[in-house]
Amino acid sequence: MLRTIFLTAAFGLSGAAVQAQVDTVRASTLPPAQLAEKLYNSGVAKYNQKSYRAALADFDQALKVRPDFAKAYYNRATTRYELKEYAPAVQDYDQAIKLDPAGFGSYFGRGQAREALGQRPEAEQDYSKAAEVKPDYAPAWYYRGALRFEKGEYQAAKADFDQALKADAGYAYAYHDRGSAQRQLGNFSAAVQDYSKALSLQPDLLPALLNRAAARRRAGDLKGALADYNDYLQKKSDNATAYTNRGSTRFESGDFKGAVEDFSKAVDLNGSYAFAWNNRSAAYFKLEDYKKAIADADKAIALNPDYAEAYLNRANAREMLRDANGACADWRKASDLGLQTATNYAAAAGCE
Amino acid sequence: MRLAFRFLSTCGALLLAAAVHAQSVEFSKDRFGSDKEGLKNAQRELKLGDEAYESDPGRYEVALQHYLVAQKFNPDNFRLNLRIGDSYLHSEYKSRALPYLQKAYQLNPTGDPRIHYLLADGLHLNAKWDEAIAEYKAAQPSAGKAAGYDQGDITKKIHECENGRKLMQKPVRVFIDNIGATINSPYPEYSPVITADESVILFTSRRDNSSGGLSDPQTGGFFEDVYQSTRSARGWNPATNLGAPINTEGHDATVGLSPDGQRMLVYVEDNGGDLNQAELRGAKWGKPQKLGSRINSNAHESSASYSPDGRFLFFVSDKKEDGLGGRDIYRIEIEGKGKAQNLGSVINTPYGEEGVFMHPDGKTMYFSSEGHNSMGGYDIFKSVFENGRWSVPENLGWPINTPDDDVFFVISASGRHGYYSSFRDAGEGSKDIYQVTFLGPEKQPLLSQEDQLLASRAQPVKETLLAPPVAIATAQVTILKGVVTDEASKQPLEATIDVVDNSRNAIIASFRSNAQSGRYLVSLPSGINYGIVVRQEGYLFHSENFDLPEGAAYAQVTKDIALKKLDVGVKVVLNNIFFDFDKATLRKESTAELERLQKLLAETPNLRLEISGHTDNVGQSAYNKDLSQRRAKAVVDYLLQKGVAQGRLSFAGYGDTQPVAPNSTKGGRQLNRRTEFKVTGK
Repeated sequence: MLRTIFLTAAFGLSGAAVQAQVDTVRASTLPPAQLAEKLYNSGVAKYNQKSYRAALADFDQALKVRPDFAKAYYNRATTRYELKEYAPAVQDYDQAIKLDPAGFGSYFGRGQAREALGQRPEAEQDYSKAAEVKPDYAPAWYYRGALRFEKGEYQAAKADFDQALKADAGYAYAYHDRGSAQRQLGNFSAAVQDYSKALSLQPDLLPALLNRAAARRRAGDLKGALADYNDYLQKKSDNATAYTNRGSTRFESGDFKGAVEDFSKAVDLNGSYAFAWNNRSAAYFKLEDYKKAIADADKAIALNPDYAEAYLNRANAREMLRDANGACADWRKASDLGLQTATNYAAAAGCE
Repeated sequence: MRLAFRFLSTCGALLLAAAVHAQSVEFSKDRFGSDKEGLKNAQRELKLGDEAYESDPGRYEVALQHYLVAQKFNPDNFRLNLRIGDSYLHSEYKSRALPYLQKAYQLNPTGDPRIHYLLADGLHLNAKWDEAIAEYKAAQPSAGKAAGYDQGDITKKIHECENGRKLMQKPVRVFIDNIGATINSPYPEYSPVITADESVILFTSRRDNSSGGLSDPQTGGFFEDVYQSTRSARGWNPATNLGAPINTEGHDATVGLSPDGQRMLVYVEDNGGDLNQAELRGAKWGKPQKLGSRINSNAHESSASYSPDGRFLFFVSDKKEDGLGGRDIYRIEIEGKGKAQNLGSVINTPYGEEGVFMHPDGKTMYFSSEGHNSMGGYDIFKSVFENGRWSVPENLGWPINTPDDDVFFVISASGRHGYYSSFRDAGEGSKDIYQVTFLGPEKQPLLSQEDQLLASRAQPVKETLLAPPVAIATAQVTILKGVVTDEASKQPLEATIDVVDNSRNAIIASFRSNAQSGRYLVSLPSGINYGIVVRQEGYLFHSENFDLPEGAAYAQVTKDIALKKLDVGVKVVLNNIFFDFDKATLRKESTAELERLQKLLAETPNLRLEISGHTDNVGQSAYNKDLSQRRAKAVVDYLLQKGVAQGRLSFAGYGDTQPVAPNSTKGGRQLNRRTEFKVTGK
């Protein structure tokens, strides 16, 4: 709101300058406060043209003229954020908050900058403050929800996404992420609903298709999941992850040959995608092609030497090829990497 | 139209020709007049075959040799096909009977009243369960008198086929591998027995290098001998004939082996079939000794197995007294006075039981039976003795069991490998020994997947799609093995190994390490706090502790033990002295060890000892020193109270100042927490 007022004032000044030459003298003797505002307005214009460096120079000048100019701090912080100068951005937001404690935008902006600096607890506090000052500001809720999601606090995250949607019912991201929270909480049908809503609001939010597929799969709706993956891959066929995940779903529905095709497509697209190699190893195992299962697990392990699942898969295949010692070594390695199943398998196979 | 008709009529003519062809072709001049020489030959073979087939008892293997020559000349004779089928049913290769019996039936469905029954047998032995059931149902019991079957047999065989169908639907996950040419030969190998750790295998074979090199006039094969192989890193070493005194000119067959491989049970033909026992002394087996009349009756005793503590014998006898029908399994205390006990009707059926094997866990018994839910002949079963009773025997399942006899099965202590003999076409010839590897429940591969769960984040979230956990059943026994040596000379030592139940303060079993190799092996079934005491005259005893709670999983522990001579300055750790946590109160499980110490002091009147306590480096040094000292004093007080003179004992607490292992590991810290004695005078 305030930014609009300053902009209006700026247009007034420049309009007067064009109309009457005599005003020039008066203009050059403007009081210092107005000079700062003029520089400030110039900065805003440059910011809007994405000339961030030039905008930054203007805001610097404005603040030199008027060091208590809260909005100039705010805008300089925002410009610095765009320039990925996060630490100075935080300092500017600090100043803006000091000068104008009621400005929710500074809290939100500082939250974003702190998040970019990896200071998540501080960022969460800032989002909380922003939401407190302005409860109908949806992004504050949304970003706090995302942070809570990443901490594994899915219930709290879901509550934040609820608030975000209360403030803005058209917030596709909030639907999407609430869907993910539901999914993590095991409420798969609610998750499917939220992903669907996100897609209807924003049809190009393609990850929602992949996530809806994953939720459907967990709910046991393998057909629905496959339909979503097919839909996605029709729209975007260069995504190794999407092929890998469809392959896993085909695997789960017992279509091991189809799974191999998908995993193969994934490794064609991205030869260093260890998950696809590992999963194809699993599918070959099911097809009783143990040599290929071992070769693919080898590849996954070469890409990621700490890949516990790949060791386990290779061990299972080695066992079937009568390589008891090799199997034991791999189960043990997977067990050392923290896979309990591998510990059990090693015990069951009588590994010494 | 016309063309189609012509085609159809050609087909009709072909069918007619086939029908005409499906008639028995006689060995006659009418038929084979053009090949008089061939016919003569075939008729001669036929006659020789008939003589062997019709003799009592039938010499079917001989009959087959001749019949198969005649069959080459004329494959379409009903009677010959039937007799070849019947001879195969009486041979080692029973499953080969089927095509001949099918051919016979095709040539003449009513040519012999036994045809349905024989065909049913052939189908049964080829695991064609449904077809076999149909033929058994069509069999005529009245025709069975001469062939030795009645309605009861038919009903039982139908049951067996039903069992087979059920068991085959859920095959057990195993590898069945020929154990290889270092053990198997073109001659029969069977009856394998193993040590608990699978380091030694003994088996029976009828090879041309058997002792005396003689053939059995009754069966035509060479006499049975016992052979041995040991396992190296590369697999089984070439088997050798054990020679005298185990092997004689007659039949000598393996029956059982103690888990440590120091005692063997041998079958001999005396007295209707008896069991003998031989002991390994150093590298040489002693002469087999009779097991005595409590075990050996006038009836046929054929198979036996030791309990892991060596005190009991499980054996098979067909004696009428106490029997429940056919051969039964009995249990007896070898050194006791009581009678052998029939294991009862949960195990023993009205049909035969054979090939008993007691697992080193002391509670799981493997045996073969013609009863229970056998799928034909003898099948292998297992039953577990728990809470005073045997569990309902469980069929080991397809493909371990087959419609033919599956018998003499032994299994390693780990439960991972079984050994038995079998006729298989892919073998080295005749009966061969096979290793069964139990794979357990199907192992599931693990898939990984990741999803970008947050719309505003580029970071995907990884997850592993976990298969549901599977139940893991491992044998509940610990195998402790190693070599006993003299600490000073490093030479292997024959010593006594006592297995003590600490909570009952009782010796469960005593074993001897091998005099030549110093090797020992003891099986410790889970559920007991064991003290292991290794002792030999002139040496200080050595004690180890194995606290194995109920259900503790299989483990194999190798522990070489160096016994120390009694000398001033020598230290011995007392592994079976237990204190309450953080206290100096002796627990009652320590009694056995304390009594051993007391006995040592009584036997060596001039012996003087310092008892010392030691801790790891966890906690305050001063506290550790005080606790270790109080604990050492508790041991000394116990001995003084038992009458040991005060001047012979001293005590000291060294805390963490004399570690015997690094304190950086859990295992090391455990070794450092100890009570030991030092000889201070003798």
